[in-house]
Amino acid sequence: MHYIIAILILIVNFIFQSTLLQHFSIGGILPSTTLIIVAIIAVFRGKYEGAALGLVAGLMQDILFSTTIGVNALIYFLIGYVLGLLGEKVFKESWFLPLITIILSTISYHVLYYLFMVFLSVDVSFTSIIRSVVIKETIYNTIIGTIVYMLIIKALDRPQIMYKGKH
Amino acid sequence: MEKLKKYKGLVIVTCVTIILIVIIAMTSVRKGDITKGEDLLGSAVTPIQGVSTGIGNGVSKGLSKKSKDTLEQENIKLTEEIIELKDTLRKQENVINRKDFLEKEYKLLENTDYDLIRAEVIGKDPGNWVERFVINKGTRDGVKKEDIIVQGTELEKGTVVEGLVGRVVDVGETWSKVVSIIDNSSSVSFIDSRTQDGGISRGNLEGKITGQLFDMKSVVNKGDKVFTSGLGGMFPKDIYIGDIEKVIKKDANLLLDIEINPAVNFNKLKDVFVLKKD
Repeated sequence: MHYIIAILILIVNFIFQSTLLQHFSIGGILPSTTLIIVAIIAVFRGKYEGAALGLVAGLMQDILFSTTIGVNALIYFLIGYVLGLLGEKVFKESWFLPLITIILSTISYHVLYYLFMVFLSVDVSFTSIIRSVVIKETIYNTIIGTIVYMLIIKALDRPQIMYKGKH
Repeated sequence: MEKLKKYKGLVIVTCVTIILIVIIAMTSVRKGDITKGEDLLGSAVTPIQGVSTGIGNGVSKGLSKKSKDTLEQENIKLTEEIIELKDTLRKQENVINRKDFLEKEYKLLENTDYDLIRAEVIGKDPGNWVERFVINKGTRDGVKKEDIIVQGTELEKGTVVEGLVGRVVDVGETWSKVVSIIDNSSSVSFIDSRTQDGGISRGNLEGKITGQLFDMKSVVNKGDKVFTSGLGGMFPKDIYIGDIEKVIKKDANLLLDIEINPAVNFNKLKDVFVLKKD
């Protein structure tokens, strides 16, 4: 059930991101809502769900827009898995967690993407990528991601420790 | 066995990673058409994208209306007048702009030597690295892989020619993937129409095109018009690319770089033509 809802969210987001959101780009850069959703789901729901959804999200983007299938899928898969591992070990109700996870995942997305471009012998300059894409996108993602994360935490506002009174 | 259970997660991750890398390796060199599964997914998603793009165009129009509403509260009477005037102006401008566009389209269709298919852009790649989009025509309408995407652009006052947008890289039944010329991986061999100097250009991630001239001593100027040269056979000859915006001389690596301002406005790309190559 969880998976169906999450995949529906991803599909709606994907259509929204490739059409409506294109009208709201700032400085030619779009925030990566897919990355934010995968990161948040991974932190809340653990490594398996994070990895599976990352895989689905990446495959959708690859199949519809790219000729090489699998680059985005692999990157989102790995990010989902690693953040899921992290999410199992940390205290979730702090604003610091989404901040750091989204900064790290945006940067690692771009580093991994760059590595794939190098291996696929597509000639790109890393400094110009950092200047024109990575910095802006990290800022957008972090702002949007942190707000969404805190909203979810508020919505789930219930005690995390449930053993009270069960003895 | 116990050990295997302990590392279950890692085993799965490693397997999936290896499978994906194999898929990447296989698909990065393929020459053939897209598979049945890809076509199905594309056919399922692109109609929804078409609707959603329409909503997006409506929303951005609606937003510009809203800002007028807030003005209204500040100064009721004057603002109302202004709104009215602005409204008529906008309507008239809309008519004029539409007329321009239709005229361009008409002239292009009248003057062109090529076989053109009308198409609409229905989705753009959400990633910030690439400039790719999907159009609503596919094999059913006669679009083929390696076809060229153009738009009617004004070369000089009165003359409308094909402005280069990109090329088709994959075709589904009712949709096609297009890589635009401002994408980093898209190289175009160009020629300066004034000096006849040739070179190779490529998108530079900032919506412009960077070109490298073959001849370091060439005397290209700012404002020169740049066309495709037809070298390499990827793009047909004499399709308008844009104007030279900057000439950058780098003595250190003995190269002459230019920056080309593309003739097509890629931010407002909506109606395009598919130019059939033969």
